[in-house]
Amino acid sequence: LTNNILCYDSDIHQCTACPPSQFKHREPNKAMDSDSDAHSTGKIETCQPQPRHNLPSPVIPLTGDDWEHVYEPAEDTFLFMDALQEELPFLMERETRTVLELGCGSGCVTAFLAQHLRGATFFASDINPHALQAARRVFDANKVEVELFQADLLSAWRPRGNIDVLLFNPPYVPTPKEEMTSSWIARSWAGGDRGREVVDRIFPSLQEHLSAGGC
Amino acid sequence: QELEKEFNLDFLVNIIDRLDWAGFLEAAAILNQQGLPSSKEEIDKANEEGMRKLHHALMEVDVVTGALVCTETGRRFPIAGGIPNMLLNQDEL
Repeated sequence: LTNNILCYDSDIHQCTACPPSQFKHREPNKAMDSDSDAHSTGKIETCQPQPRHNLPSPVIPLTGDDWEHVYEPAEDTFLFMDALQEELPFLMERETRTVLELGCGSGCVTAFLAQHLRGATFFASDINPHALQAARRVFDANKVEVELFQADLLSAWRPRGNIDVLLFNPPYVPTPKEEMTSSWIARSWAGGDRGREVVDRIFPSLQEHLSAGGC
Repeated sequence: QELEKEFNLDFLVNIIDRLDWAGFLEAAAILNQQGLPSSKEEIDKANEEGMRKLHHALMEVDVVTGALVCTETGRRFPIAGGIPNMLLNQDEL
């Protein structure tokens, strides 16, 4: 997590259709206010983003109707999966037992990890009822078992130091406060003041939620 | 619903480590699962029959429609389609 918007450089974005000059770069510390495209869609405009991870991605049996209310996997989603692939050896050697994803959306990040990290029990939650239904279909299609529940971040999880891996791709776009609750889909990007309002809510209790070697 | 799931002793032992045993026993009793060890210490990994009973209660029995009830406040959190709704209402925040 950084304080600022991720910079997608050509190393990560492997769209073969666009020349590098067409990528939208975002320097750290640069405000997004001037970039109305990213502000209104919550996504950096790219075309056909390609994941870099080479382990198979989860199948996603969702359609255009679903994406009206659920965040469609994009650059940041693939970046997350790439990072998880790189960390797999690390996660496997420390006997990961419980994994919880907050704001799971379509569930593809958890589906990806669940396909490749055996032996752990997976939990995923979201506040958005459409996301939960979508995630259930994604988990079933990929034959992974994940316990789903509807909740507002960690509010339903008793802090018992029992989470080995906490996954969270938070809404991070700086937006007016009202936008954060304007629609289900807006919750996937609207991060309020400095884009930090949602992610900052998990930090105070994080220590009590993560297990001894939790990450 | 009761769905058959593959029995995996190591996996079971791992997840038991993370369980709130008292909570699990209470839920198991409500779902008519009997004959479970009354504490984690009593679990005998070598007792296959006992472990399979544990596997059944923990992994194969699922509430599809029902509710989770807070033991402190009595507040019901409904479960629909196997998914509990743990959101609080505006007036509860």
